[in-house]
Amino acid sequence: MLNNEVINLGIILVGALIGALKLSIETRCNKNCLSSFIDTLLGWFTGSLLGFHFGAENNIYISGLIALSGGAVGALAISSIIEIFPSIFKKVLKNIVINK
Amino acid sequence: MLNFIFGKDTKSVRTFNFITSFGWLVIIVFALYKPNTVALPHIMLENYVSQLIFASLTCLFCLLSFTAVDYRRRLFKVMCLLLGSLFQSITAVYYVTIYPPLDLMLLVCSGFALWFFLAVLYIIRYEGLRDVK
Repeated sequence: MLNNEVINLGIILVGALIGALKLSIETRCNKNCLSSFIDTLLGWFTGSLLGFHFGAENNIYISGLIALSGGAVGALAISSIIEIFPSIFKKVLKNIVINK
Repeated sequence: MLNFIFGKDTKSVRTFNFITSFGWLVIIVFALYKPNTVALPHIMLENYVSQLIFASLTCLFCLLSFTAVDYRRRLFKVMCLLLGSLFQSITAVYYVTIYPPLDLMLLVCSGFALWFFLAVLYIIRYEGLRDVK
């Protein structure tokens, strides 16, 4: 039966999947298949989680937008962390070594 | 259509994203220390930790996107706009009311969320996220 809850569930899950897939496909050439698949799953999980936690039942469009953005953020999270942390550690270590 | 909305690049959108996120950060901190001065929805004040985290991450990635180069710059640009879109849509949810059905802040925050998401699509379309080594 198509009631509000089922529609809300569907929009959040589909929105999260679309967001995760889109960003995962865009960064595909930097990684192998398994990494892309894990990024997609992570994005889907993140988007669904955020959509269900922060979404509003009487405003499904915003829930869908939250799930979409959340899915995309989740798919890019690992790539971003990999890009940020090595350079920060390098700078910190360099400063420590130079000061000593 | 994306070219018409954003022109040559998304610098203005990212600057606006940084300003709005930083502004919300200041407003939420202010509302926590002086509760009767700023009128925020009580649900937002109950979930202030997540709001502060999202606003801080958005500001951080905005600053990183202004200072990084090449592939990292594009990645941080997309991340900051996605986080900004997420933050604005979560803020919009806190203004959802049963009656009247459309609050002004709901429309404004939803509009910003959509604008930032379109900027992400612009970056993906015209600049790409592929790190060609």
